[in-house]
Amino acid sequence: MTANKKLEVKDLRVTFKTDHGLVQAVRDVSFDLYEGETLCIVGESGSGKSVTSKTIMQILANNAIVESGSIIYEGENLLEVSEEEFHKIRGHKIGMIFQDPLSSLNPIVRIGKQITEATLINSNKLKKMYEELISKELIAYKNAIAHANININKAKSKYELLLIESKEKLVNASEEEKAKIKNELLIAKNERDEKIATIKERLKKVLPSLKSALDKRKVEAKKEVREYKAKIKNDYATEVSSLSEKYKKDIEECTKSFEHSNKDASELKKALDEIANNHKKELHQAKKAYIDKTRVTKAEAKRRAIEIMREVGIPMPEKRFRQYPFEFSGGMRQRIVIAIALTAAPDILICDEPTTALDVTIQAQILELINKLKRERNLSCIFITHDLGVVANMADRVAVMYAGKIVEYGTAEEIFYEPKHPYTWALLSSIPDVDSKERLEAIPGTPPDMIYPPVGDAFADRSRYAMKIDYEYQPPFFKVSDTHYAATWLLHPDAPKVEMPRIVAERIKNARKGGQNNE
Amino acid sequence: MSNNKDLDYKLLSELESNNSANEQGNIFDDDHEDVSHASFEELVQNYKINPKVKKRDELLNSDIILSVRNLKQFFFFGSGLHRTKLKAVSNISFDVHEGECFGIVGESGCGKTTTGRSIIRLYDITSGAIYYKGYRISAGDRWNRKEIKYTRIRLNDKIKELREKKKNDILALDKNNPDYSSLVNEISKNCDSEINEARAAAYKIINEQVRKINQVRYDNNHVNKKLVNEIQMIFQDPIDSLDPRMTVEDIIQEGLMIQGYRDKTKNHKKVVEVLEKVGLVADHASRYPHEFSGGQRQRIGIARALIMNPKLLICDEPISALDVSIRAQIINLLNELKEELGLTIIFIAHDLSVVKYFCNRIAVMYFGKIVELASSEELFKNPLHPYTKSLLSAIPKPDPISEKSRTRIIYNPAEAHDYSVDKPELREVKPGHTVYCNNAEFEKYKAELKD
Repeated sequence: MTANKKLEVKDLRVTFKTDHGLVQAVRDVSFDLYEGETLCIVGESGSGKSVTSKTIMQILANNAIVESGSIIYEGENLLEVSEEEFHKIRGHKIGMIFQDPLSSLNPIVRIGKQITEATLINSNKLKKMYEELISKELIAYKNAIAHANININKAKSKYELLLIESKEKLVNASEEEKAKIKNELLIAKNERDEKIATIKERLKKVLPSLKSALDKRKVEAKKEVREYKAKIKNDYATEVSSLSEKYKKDIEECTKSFEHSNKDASELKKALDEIANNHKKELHQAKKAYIDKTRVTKAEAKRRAIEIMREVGIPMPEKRFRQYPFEFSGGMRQRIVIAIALTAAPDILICDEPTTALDVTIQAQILELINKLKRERNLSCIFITHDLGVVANMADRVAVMYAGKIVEYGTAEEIFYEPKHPYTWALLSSIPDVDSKERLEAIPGTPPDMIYPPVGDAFADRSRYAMKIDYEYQPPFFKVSDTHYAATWLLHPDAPKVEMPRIVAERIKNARKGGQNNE
Repeated sequence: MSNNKDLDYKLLSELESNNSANEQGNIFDDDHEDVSHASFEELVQNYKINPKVKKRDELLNSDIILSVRNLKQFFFFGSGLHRTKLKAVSNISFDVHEGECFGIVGESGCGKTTTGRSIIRLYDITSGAIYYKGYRISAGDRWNRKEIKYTRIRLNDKIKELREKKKNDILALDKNNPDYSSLVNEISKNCDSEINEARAAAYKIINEQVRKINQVRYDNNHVNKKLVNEIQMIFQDPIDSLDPRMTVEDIIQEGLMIQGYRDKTKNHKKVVEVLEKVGLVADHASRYPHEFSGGQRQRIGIARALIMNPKLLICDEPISALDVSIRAQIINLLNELKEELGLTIIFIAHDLSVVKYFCNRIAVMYFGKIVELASSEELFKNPLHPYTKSLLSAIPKPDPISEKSRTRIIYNPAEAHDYSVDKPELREVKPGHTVYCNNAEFEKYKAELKD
């Protein structure tokens, strides 16, 4: 694909601190998102697909630790960006649609208010202008702090991880070993404190200059905004005065022209009325133009909201605008959620199982809508789901996730017609399709406990094709084609040749036949 | 207690001998149309038992295990002026044969879950009747009440009419006629006798209906519980349907306890047996639901149904809330149990490919009505009703080529049908394939099938 990269996720590792231990939700996930494409992430619940998307949006729960990795968007690492700067990205650049439309809408606020909320919060254009003027300095200042904080947290969490590990070790350790471990811990603690101290010192050095720059800029920006405001106010005042002069002139001319003719007084009144009306209209327009320069009005926001509601296929948006979420059906609610995500015109849309709570016909409608919007607005989509039928419909490329890792990725055709990983086979064979009659091949067992992730291939325990090496070493990505990679030892040149399950092979054969017939 | 089957038969025979009323109970209330008799005469003349109804002996001897007749389930909201009626299920009928798997599909809100819940008596049904093995286990009396109401109205109209006639007749008489008083007497006498006749005819109907209402009430309150226990249900959400504060053993044996089996050792034995049947181990009995994964919880739900020795299992979207990799496990388990225990299953779902895989016959529901009913192969091969076509066109397939070229058929009932003159009903287009249609559509569908 020659299109440019929109988003680049590299070696992402996310861990959750819980009472039972550390849950390694995402382990070394990397993928790219290209412009205008849909990337589907497939996997069962608990495979880390939602966590990945939440990390991109930076809306993880408090107990989450991003251990390593980077998410690069427009040349910036989103993991090292301060919350202030993220306000400009979240929603505006990267939008998100959640799974359950009922719980993502506020039940006691009218739909219209919920859609226009984002627009109205940023409605003051002068304030926005001021913020934009100081944004460079402010972001530099805040980023410095955020960067330091992130580094401090990293150091802290590194020590904590070590602490938890050594606690486990301590249980079965002899006295000597205990002393050794404690010593190690002490060293680590000192190291941590030192590191934190250096970070803080460095920050102290940098901060004053940044702060002074920011303060200076603030004063300048305030002045600039004030000047701008005065200017537009002045412009408005001059326009109003010129309009009123023109009005006086018009009236004079009109009365003069009537004095010399022998027309009725009523006609004169009519002509004067017309002039007055025109004047009123012009005044109104001038005022509107002035207000448009200063803020987004409620009427304007409503107009935009109704436009977008029409775009996502809600009939009678003027009436629907004043209704509550409970007055909508499931499909309509999901449309509202999509409309809210689209108001700020993002260029990346993350859809976290948007159709799981809907039934077949509504699901098809919503998928069609998302596809249409994607085409019209040239959106790049990350689509998270566990329904392979939906994946086949939406995806340009597919990433299959299992136990916090991507096990296979490639284009949709490659994944569906030439799957290589046993887990992809299992997923494909476990769902009956319209033609299947024989017994289904269920995946035995349950996903692994991510507090103690397996050493080797995570899927080995549930796989028929597991080899000895699967239990010892994690398989690297083997290249199948330029766009298709799979992490399984079965692709190693020394591995025995294994055929995919009969059901999958047959289904692929049928699908290919059907595809040719269609063409 | 040890031999459940003997007990069942004993109770059944008891029921048969004691409850002669029940025997009568099954010949009416069944196939009826909405009360729409135009006049009193029509009402009296048309009042007869519908011959289409299968006799109870017929039901007993056939392999029909469950027969749903004209089931209506309405819900009422509000009071006074704001009282509104929701027709969740309106007039559906179907038979389920022994050992088969009967699927009900439709979009959310079409009444498929309500149907399941009405069958297992979670709701008191509004109208219609449900027969299990030839015994009426549940019936509604709304139709009878309506019949009484309309009979009364028609009767009053009739009486008014007769009195008016009498008045006119008397006015038309010549007052100077010497026989005036005797003629008047005669006319009023005739009129009175006519009124009495009409009243008698009407009250015959009303009394009959009152008797039926009482019968329905009696039957509903005196259903053989052993019989109803043979119908069990599996619920959709394995998380919400299990009480978090009860151990698995308590959850599974709750049904037994309610039915009076209180011997703990025996119950425990049964629980362990049933746990092994659904692929769990005996150790799990003492744990709590939160310690299990979604698939295991659904297995517990199945075990809870199985411990009552069911013959008929109603599965209300048993796999919708489960994970992909677990779904196949549960489908296989249900299939195995079906074969091992000879279960009859009513499978309610909106995932058409699963229903196709699992069921012998499928009923498609749309807004409280069955619009098409056929064997699963037939339905997928020759879908006739536009809604079925639309539903089939929306199934997502794990196949990118066909999926990307797919065109969805949109169903718009206002455009698809013209029912202003000719009212539709369920008609058999082909043996075993019924469609909800009117005359014109019936011919159209037949022609479609021939092609």
